[in-house]
Amino acid sequence: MLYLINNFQYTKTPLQEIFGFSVQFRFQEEMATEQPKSATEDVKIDLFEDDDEFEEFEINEEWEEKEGKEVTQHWEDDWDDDDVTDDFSLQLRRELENNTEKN
Amino acid sequence: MAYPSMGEAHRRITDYLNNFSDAVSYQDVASLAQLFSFSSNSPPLLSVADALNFFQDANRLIKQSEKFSQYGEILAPLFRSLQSYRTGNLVDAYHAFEKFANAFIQEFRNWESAWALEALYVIAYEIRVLAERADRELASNGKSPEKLKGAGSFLMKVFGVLAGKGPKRVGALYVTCQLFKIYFKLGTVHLCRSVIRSIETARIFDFEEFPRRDKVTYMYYTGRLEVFNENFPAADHKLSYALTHCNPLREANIRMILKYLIPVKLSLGILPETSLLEKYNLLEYHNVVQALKRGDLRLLRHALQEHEDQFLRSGVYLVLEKLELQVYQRLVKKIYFIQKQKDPSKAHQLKLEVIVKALKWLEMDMDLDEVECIMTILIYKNLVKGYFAHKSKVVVLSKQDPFPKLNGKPVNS
Repeated sequence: MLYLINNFQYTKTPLQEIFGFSVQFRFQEEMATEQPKSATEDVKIDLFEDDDEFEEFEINEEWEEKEGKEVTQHWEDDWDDDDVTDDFSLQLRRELENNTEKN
Repeated sequence: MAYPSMGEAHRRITDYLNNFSDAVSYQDVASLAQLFSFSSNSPPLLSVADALNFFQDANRLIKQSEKFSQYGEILAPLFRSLQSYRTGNLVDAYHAFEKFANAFIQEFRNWESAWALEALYVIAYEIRVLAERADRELASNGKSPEKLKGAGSFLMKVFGVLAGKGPKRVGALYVTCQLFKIYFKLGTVHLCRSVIRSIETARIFDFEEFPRRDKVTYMYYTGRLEVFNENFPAADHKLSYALTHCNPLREANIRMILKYLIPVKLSLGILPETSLLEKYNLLEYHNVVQALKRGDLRLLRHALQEHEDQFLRSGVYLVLEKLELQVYQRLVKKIYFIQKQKDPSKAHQLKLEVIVKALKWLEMDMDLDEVECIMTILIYKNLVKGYFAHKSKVVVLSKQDPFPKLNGKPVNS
């Protein structure tokens, strides 16, 4: 199913059919179709919170940028290795070797 | 509320008027801005408000002297707003503040230099916050809240005033960020588009000239929009910019940036260290990361279920759900390596029934057809290199690089 939300095309996957849209997307969809709403319904929908409103910086807030670089260094891109000695891999191996019992 | 004497009230109001007039004459923006920073609830400001409510005839004082009356259009609504603010009538306070702000803008336009920009920032901030409070008051009285929307329209006007060739143009990004906060709060994020287009394409603007704090805020919000649109390379660029340049002591803001950056990085095959999740209290992502590392589809589903509400609220649920393909890739890769250890010569031939078995173990009951479908998708999206031998129900993997890494690029969509 294809939805047009705020002019962005948006396709629902089967999993989304189950879980539904987020409140936010539902609201945007209603804005797009512009259905008339009662005043009390407005109260519930329009009083949105953005949980993640960025805090205001002070007008003349200063900071050292060097320290800021530290937080950018905690990522790994070499995790996708060939190691199959972890617990999960060992359990997986056992499962796969168990070929006569479960059938 | 302390009630002043008539004489005291008269004195406070006249002092305020003098402060205003002098601040403009001497271009003292710091003093000027303090005069309408309602949300600061500073004692001097509140005591002027008390005086106004007591005196009740401040307009006469304004008209008494040319020094004040020249700013009459600005001061009269400012006083009304301050009075209403003090008595908790936020809707009235907002109306009057908007009138004050409009009158101020008219005067501001006539000042050639950018000396009063910081006062304008205060007005932009105060009008948004007042509008939010006014809307709460309206809603609690069962009325339709539309003041924040009105504040948005006003700020678009302010943006237009600043969008010119002169030195005032560096203020445009601050106003833009206030607009973002309004649109995100109202859920009308499509309205961000026009102001973004102005900032990014108008020739009068040079992004580097804007104050750093505004650039960080701007990149945070536009980064979030890129996440909504699933433009992961663009989202990575913008949110990483915000992260790098944000004040490191502002941990709440850093956390917010990471909250949106982490799903983006995961989509590009880059994982955050657990120490990062711990430091910024983002442990809702911990099991998602583990699931990717292991190839554990069951863990991914649990993680999505466990924190479903959080992920839905922030709008990253769909991004995380789509990581499923990468988790499949990892799982199939592990099966391949396990087989390779047993019999290297046959390892590149993966029987579908082996994958079905692994999935069953992970509490995912799928038949051969469904698994064939998934393998086909993985091949189509270049997460697996090889082909599917339909008759024998075997995936024949390429001998070279059968599981291409993302290398910082998103999965082909």
